[in-house]
Amino acid sequence: MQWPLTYHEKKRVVQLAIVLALAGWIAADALLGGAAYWQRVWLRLPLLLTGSGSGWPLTGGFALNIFLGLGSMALAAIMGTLLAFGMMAKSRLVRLPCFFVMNFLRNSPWLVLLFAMLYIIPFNVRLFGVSIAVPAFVKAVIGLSLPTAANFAEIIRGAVQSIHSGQWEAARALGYMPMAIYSRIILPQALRRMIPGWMNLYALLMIATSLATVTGIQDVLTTLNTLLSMENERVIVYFYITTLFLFFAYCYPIALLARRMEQSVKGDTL
Amino acid sequence: MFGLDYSWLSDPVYQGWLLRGTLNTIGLALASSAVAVLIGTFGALALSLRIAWLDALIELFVELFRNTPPLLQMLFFYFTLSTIGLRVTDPVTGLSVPLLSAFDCALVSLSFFGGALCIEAFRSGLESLPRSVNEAARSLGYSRWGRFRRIEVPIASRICLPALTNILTNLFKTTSQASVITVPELMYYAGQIYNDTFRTAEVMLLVLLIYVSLVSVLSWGMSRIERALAFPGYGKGH
Amino acid sequence: MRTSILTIATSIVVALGITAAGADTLADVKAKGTLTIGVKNDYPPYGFLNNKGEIVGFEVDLGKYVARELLGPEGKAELVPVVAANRIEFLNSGRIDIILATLGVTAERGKVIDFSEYYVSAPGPSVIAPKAATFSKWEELKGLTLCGIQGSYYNKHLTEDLGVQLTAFKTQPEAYRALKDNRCVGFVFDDMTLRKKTEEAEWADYKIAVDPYEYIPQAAGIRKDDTAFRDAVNKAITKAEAEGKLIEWETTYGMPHSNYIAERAKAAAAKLKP
Repeated sequence: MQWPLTYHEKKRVVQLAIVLALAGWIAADALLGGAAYWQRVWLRLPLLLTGSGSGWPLTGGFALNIFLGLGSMALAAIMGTLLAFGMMAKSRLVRLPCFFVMNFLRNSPWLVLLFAMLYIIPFNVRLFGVSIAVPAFVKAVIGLSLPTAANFAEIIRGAVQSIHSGQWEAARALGYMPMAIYSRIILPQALRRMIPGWMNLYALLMIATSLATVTGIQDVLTTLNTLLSMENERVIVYFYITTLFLFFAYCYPIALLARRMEQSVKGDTL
Repeated sequence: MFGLDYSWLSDPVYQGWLLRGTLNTIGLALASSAVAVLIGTFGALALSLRIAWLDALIELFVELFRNTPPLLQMLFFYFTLSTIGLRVTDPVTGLSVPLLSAFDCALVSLSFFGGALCIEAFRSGLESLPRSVNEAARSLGYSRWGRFRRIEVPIASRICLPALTNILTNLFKTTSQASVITVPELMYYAGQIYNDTFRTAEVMLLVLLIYVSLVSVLSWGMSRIERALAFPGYGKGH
Repeated sequence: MRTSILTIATSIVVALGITAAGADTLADVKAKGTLTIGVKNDYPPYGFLNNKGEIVGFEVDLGKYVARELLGPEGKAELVPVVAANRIEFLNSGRIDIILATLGVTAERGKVIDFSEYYVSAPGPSVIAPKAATFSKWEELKGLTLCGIQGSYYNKHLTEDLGVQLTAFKTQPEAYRALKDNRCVGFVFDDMTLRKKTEEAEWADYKIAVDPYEYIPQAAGIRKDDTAFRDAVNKAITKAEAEGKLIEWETTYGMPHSNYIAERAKAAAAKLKP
């Protein structure tokens, strides 16, 4: 390193200092009695992560939040894609209802939507005379996937519309069919712009999975609350910090990666 | 109609709860939006000064509050801050009580969460100013402060408006999570009502409609502002 | 205009979503061979987890007894943990067949479900507060902030008639934590649970500050107009009472013997005598 340091080098140094200060603070706190609390947290960490005391099987805890996130994202991808194509349809009869649904879902709070789904979806569905129970987990997946689908659709629409109209005209002039223009020209380019948006959406969804605690499933917050009823007041600080860190450690790298990709896409001239 | 029973709505007690809840929701949203915009403005301004140590701290704040669930933040503030010393003595009872009420905790969490998003949005707004604008202003003899006040802020704030609309509607929706720490807003009273009447689906539907209507009004109002402030011809490029 | 469209649209969604629950539970239960019972798992002595993690308790035993009466000795009882806020929803949507979960008989609840015979008379709410607390009557609570639990039947009475500032939590641990934190001057909840709490070492500095203002009967919750099922359940409960089973369970779970149960046992025995 050369002196004087550049702006970015200086920032690196300060970031390093912050990390060191945090580590030092935790160490000092541990020496002053915090170690016993961290030990409680360490003891309960498998439960917090997997929902079972031994760390296996994965029945709840943060693992369940991850499953929830993945399940909702998959469902949202299917619904969101359909909704996006609906919004870009030529017919007003298709387009307007799709816009309406998208706006309704995007304007409703995730928590309220999740709660409403919890009570609106029946506990039993009768299909061909067989009654199938709908577990709370499935309801949570559906409840979380609805607002995600609306955002998913908006990302697709935004990316497709950001492709310069000249591309459409050129492709048409070259004799491509509309479907071929979509699949060969527009989507491959738009996809590059969609992926960072989807990653951000996934990080947002992961954060929202914390709301699933209202459905009564054994997610990380429900587990935390059950755990805390057995702990003293002081140690709950350490439990909360640990849980906050779990979310941060999962979501931050995704957000960081998404931003990197956004930066690289920005340079594209479309 | 459709087997939905809304007869409970005629009870003045429940009407009062819904009204109070709605007003508290709006109040919480307004207060946290105001603080969030303030945090965003000062944060973005501080970032534009490019002071390394300050920027590192601000970025840490942004990433911490953007990448953790607001719900968990609220619970953290509500249940732990008082145990690590944020307490005051109640002048009436002489008891040591938590400094931050449930409402305060929700306000802090929401405005930090919104503030983190605002800093990011405002920063990219300031950065997206075309260099030529600044050069033109300099050649016209504007000072650094004059450029900032008369050129950068007016243009950047308009560039930021769509992102701000997103953040504020997001924040409005997130206020519903304050019900978990017993802030008596709309969602909290919804729970009280359906626990009394057992008309869960009906109550949740009504509450969903109230939220969607309020958020729609907010985003419609913001888009009116966007249109009113737009420079003719500027920003139509994309 | 916009909202009215929204209302209609969402109403349709709901109408499609809600399916009518089967009206003849007795036949359904017999066909399955299993009675699905909603019980508490955090509420000693009525329903709680023992050291092995199994749900046991006064009402759990009652539920198993009813299942055997309805389905014969091979009859199975499936236990589904419920809380105050979801038990009626669970019943009416078909997730469970019967509620045996500290369900107090109230007029509001009577509008949406039916009750069985009233097998227990339980004290209503009381208030736990620090020993230093000066209030001892319900009327003195006006304007004070009390912690509570969402879904308790007395919440509306407290806020609207007594003028209490109620802070209602979803779960008990949260309410206890808030009370210790002095976020409220007392915690209003079912008397039975609070009395047990004051016996714990950690809660030695707390007392029952205000005694219950009423006793309310406790009964099984059954879907509305499910007559055949209700009659069968009532018959099973009366038989259990006549055989002195409820008194037995009181002993098993360390409950004080109540006059109410003893008298009902006598009456039931007299009724069943040929």
